[in-house]
Amino acid sequence: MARAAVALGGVAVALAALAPQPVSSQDWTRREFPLAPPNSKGNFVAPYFDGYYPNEDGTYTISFGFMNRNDDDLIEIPLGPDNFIEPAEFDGVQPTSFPVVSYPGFGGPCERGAFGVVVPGDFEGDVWWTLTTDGYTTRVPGRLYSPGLVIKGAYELSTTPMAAGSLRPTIRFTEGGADDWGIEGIEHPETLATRVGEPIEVRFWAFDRGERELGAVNMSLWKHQGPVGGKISFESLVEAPSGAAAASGLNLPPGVTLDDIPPEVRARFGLGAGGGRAPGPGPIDVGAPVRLPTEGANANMGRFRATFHMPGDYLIRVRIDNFNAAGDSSVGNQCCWSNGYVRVSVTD
Amino acid sequence: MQSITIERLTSRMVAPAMLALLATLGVGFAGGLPAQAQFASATPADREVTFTRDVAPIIQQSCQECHQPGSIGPMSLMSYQDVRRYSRRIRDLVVAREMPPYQYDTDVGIQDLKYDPRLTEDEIATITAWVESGMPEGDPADMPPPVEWPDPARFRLADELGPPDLIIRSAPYSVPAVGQDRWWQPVVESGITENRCIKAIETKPSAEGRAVAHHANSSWRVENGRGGQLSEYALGKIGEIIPEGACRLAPAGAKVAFDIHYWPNGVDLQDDQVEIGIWLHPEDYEETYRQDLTLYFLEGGRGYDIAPHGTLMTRGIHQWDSPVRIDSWQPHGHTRLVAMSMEILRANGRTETVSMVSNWSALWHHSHIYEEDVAPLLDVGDRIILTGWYDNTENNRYNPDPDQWVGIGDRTADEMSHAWIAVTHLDEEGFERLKADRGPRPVSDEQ
Repeated sequence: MARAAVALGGVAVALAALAPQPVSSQDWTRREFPLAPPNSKGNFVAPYFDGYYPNEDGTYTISFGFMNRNDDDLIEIPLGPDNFIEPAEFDGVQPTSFPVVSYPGFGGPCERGAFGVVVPGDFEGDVWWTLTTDGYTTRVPGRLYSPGLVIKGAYELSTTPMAAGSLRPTIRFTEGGADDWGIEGIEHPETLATRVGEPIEVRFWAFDRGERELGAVNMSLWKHQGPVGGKISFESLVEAPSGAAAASGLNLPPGVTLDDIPPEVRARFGLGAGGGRAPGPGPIDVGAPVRLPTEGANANMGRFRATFHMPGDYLIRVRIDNFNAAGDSSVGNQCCWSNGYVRVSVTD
Repeated sequence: MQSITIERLTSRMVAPAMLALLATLGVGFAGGLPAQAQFASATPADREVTFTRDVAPIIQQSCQECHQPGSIGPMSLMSYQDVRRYSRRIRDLVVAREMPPYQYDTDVGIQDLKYDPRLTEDEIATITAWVESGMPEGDPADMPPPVEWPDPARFRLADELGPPDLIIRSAPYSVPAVGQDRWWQPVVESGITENRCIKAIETKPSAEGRAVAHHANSSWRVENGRGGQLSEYALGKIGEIIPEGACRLAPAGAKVAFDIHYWPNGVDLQDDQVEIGIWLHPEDYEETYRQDLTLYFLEGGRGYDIAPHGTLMTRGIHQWDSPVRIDSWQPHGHTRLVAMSMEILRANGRTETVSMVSNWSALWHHSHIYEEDVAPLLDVGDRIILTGWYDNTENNRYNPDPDQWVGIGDRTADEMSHAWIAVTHLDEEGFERLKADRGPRPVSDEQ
């Protein structure tokens, strides 16, 4: 399968689009005629079953994601009859906020591994996630087996190293405290409290993991749960790494600079202005990756502020990935990232 | 645009002689074969069909390559007893054209293909008649001498081209027996010291790794970037032949970047390596035109998203700013892809169906290499239309789980939609010369 080769700030970009083309590999001008985009509005959110992996304690984690099938519109579906998990004992961990995502290459518009359901080792049956958007209902089963006649095991995930040795990174919310990794994630030990308009500051520590030389990890922030219409403004407090290329959050090949990337490519992959990637402290979009430093006094520390515009109970998802650390970690690979969750109670 | 349903695709899968029979059985090919079937006998002649005289030559030529000890087939078909034991299964699979495993429609488009292992209608009829008549062995004196098969782990193209001039091996990787898909992307030295033109390429997984190396793409790495695609390999593919006069460049000093998709499949494989065999033209080879192998996308849905128990059609339209010759076509998808076609839309509005695979299987990926005198020629203004069909229902026996939403992704459980196409880039002079060399020829399925 064709594969994207360069990781930059957590997403992968076709290397051919970045590097100047040598004469030996001319771009034989060809034209593509893309199908008219659906210009989708009023479309629904589809739940996705990503797969499952075994845990050391004998349980299994079932990983779920979602696809918002609209072009731009955020969809929010509160927990309840339009957003529920069966059996009921697992209900309540799923997101209620479904932004539109778009990962380049074979990443696609699906947000994978948004949450996990942990089931016992002897679990039989299915964990169904049902979503209804404007009256349209769809659901998928998370399961530990494959009913296929010929192809088995297609949904198995691993906790063992990927091809280059990458493993899911760890995250912890207290300095010197316990850390954990995985889709099901680790939760901040406290429910934070604030008022509308008054930001909270969150600190955490995240570490790359792998049977290889360790590298940097990225954080991205998501409204996982919260009142419908309750916007969260995120601000990264992560220091900018040194060097112009590093500041862009890109892992560029030797000799290639940001200026070498054609404007249309930069626009397509959201590089530079308007791409949502913060080269240092500043506002960041939902889901935009920010690389954490690996050196200095704040090594491996993530910091962000969140300001809430509506009262209610919120759950922030902090995704930590190591997509840029090695070539074997990307969204499409289903590895490697971990989730951390922060509960916030917001009053007027 | 022409609309083709999956039901209509089924009608393209087998020759008309077989279609009526299978229609009476209500056979949907994606759904498997009937437990019992009655096949009309189409005996090649009014005589007894025996194994030794009539069937053995077919088995030798078309089956034993894989169905011999040490090769990839699940059983050996080296003797009468072997073949008799599996005779009904063999009959079912050859009638359905699932064996030999080369899915390519017989009744539409270009049929002159290189390395085409498909059985003829007569061969299928012979096997059918033999089974229907009780599988007589026949006179042992009629038996052809046994084939002296070379090592099944050899480079297949070496049979015709001799040993490769260059073998490039991936760095070793140990694949666990269980776990998720993983992509091994080592970069290795190529040993190429000057620009050379490639004559043929064969990417070969190890004998033990054949079942778990689903794909093994390779590209050149030159200073300051990427030097183009070297090759593509997916499960079942034999190799690529570059037509005479064209040059697929092996750049001097380039390294080779592998991108190997391993899927753990119960086999604990230590230090596996994939090899790329490259046959080179002589140093003084007179290159006329450049050829490249590129991925051509199809689009559909938001990201090939297929609903549970649903279907999807994808489409891609491409053209070039210079005349081209299409040398080979290889559909690509995963377990929900069931069919793909390539048509040409000429600038004058006429369409031609070039190739169609109505019973595509993720277990066998083939690059369909056109004989040079029939390889499609496209002038500026002509376009190719690629169409893919996906089946996420229970009818698709390769579907791992029809209850799931399916989207674009690298994993076996996800989907892709593209075709690898080798294109020789011509100029007007070359295009006109190739056209003149061929002269007028009948056009099939042109609208």
